[in-house]
Amino acid sequence: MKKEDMYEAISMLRSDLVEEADEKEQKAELKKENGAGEKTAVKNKKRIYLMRYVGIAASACIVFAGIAAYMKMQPKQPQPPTEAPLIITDIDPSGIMPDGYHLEASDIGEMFEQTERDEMLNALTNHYVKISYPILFDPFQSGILPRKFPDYLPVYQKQDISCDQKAFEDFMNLYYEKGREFMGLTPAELMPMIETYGLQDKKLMAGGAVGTGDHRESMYIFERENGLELQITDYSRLRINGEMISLSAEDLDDVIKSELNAFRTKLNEHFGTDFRDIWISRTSGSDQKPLQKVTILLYDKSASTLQNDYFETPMPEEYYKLSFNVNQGAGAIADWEDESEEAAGRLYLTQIIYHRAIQSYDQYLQVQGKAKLLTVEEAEEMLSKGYVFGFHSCPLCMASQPEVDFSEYDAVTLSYISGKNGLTVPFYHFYKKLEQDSQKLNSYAVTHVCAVALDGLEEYFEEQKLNHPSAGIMIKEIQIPDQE
Amino acid sequence: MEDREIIELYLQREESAISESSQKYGRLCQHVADNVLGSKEDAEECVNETWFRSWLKIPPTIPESLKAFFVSITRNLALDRYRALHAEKRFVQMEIMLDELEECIPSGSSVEEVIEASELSGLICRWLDDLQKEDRVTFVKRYYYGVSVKELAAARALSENTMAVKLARLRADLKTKLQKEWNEI
Repeated sequence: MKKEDMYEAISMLRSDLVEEADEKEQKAELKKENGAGEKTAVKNKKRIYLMRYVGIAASACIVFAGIAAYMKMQPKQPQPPTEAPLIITDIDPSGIMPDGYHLEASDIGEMFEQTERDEMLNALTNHYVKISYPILFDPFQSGILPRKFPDYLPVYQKQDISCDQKAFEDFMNLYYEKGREFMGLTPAELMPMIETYGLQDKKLMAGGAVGTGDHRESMYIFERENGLELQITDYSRLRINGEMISLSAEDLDDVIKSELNAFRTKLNEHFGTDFRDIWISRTSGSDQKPLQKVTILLYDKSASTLQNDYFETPMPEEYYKLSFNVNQGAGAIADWEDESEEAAGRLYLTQIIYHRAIQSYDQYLQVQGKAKLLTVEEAEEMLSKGYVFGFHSCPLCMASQPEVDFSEYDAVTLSYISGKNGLTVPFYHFYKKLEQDSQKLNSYAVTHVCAVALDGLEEYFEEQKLNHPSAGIMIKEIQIPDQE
Repeated sequence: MEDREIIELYLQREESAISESSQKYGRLCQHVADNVLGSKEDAEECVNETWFRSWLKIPPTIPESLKAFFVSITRNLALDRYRALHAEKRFVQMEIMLDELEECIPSGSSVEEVIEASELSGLICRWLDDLQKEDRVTFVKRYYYGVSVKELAAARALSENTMAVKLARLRADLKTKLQKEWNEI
């Protein structure tokens, strides 16, 4: 035995031993433990707010009832026209307050990805506010705008829902078979795919892949946050009974809908569903290629228990998700290198997901309170101050993106964002048009302002600024290459 | 992003899997490779290669721990790099660490003929399981993550000399354990 063999053997240490010794992991755990107390304090604070508003509303009800009783005793006289009377509604027994729900700015900060390794709590402050990924869609053409914004919307908290092993196995046994039949695979072809079954990040999963080179087909069953999923993928293009399904990159929504009719019927008949609604979304690639992917949901809108129009995507408890992709490009295993005239400008079906919720949405997303929303003007003020929140906050990525001036933005929409902590809150999204690509799709930069009034906003963002110097140093050291 | 989500990006052949891996574990892998090779440039190349290897391995491999998966690849790449450029004797850190590990090898020529890395790893894991947590973490930090003796000493508020003695005792203990296990085989 040589010393190098010893080194190699140590490379193969059990993962729990490796995890245990990682200092950063321990620090994060410690932070988590310390954070638990803070969280309780926040919750208590919210409870105090709720109690305060319950008190105010109850007192107001008593006063109102007293005034009403006094008025009833007075002789009726003609009254001059006045402004609309103040209406004090009863407290909703489900816990929705008329206007009493309060959130802390730090609660919203916790919703987003944090880069603790870079010693940053949340990178999105004044310094990085104007930076965001371009997206491909037109809020005017997609029917989102113009839209009247509501005064109040509920704030939700996702519940921790997991399925038991038997439910997972029942789903797995049924949908492996259904998936196999749909794809036209023989049982012998399916067997090698069922190679893993176990827990991954505390969620169950099973499945595997077959094939080599540029043709790799996989079938997985996943336990999701609140759902079970059958996922059939082949990034070298799915062959359903040998047939490939494709769309033209230039197809408008109506054309796509009509072209998919036959395929939708086939899915419905095979899996025993009756989904007639279609939702279509287009996204650009990370390298800002014009159109990289078209995602399509097939579902039944009327069957959803969550009838809230302010979610960015439909929220059905059961759906099919179809992904159509362009060629993945050089370097990817799934690069199909089809340069034929027929394949040019087409997106091919590469993935089918069948998703079924474990719990209905009214169980999964529990209403925490009904929040009074900021007006667009108030949100604009937040935007001008840099009080925005966001997703990917790696300083390297952010600094490599072009700055965008949102002072004269092109569109504003309102929709929910679900955070890492399960909090689901409405946000205003401000869009600034960047350029029109060759396919005449508009590309926008977007940045997000929390639509709910927050406590401790100024303090929170002041605190965030203090975390920026270290990020600045890091960027300088890494030397970002010029973006061509 | 959760490990599970990153793994799914690999399964779905999304190129963002690489950037997400790099964002979450890039600095850790860089640190490990740097500890071993003592050269930022070489470490960087190892880390970039780590993402490429991971892209080829997932699927079909579904790592139990993504962190351990990436770090193991980085460590092995660092060793390959060390071997390739060994003649230049550039990698002082690696030299020291390997010399220390040599002390753990039991005597007897038959050992090298039969034992495989996975078997040896299993023996080391069992030995680690029996250690006190503090010692276990120290050993893994030194010989898995390649943390220097100086850093380890500072973390435990000990002098460098005391930490060196502690590590020597651990190595001697491992050697005894391996020798005993080997004799039983």
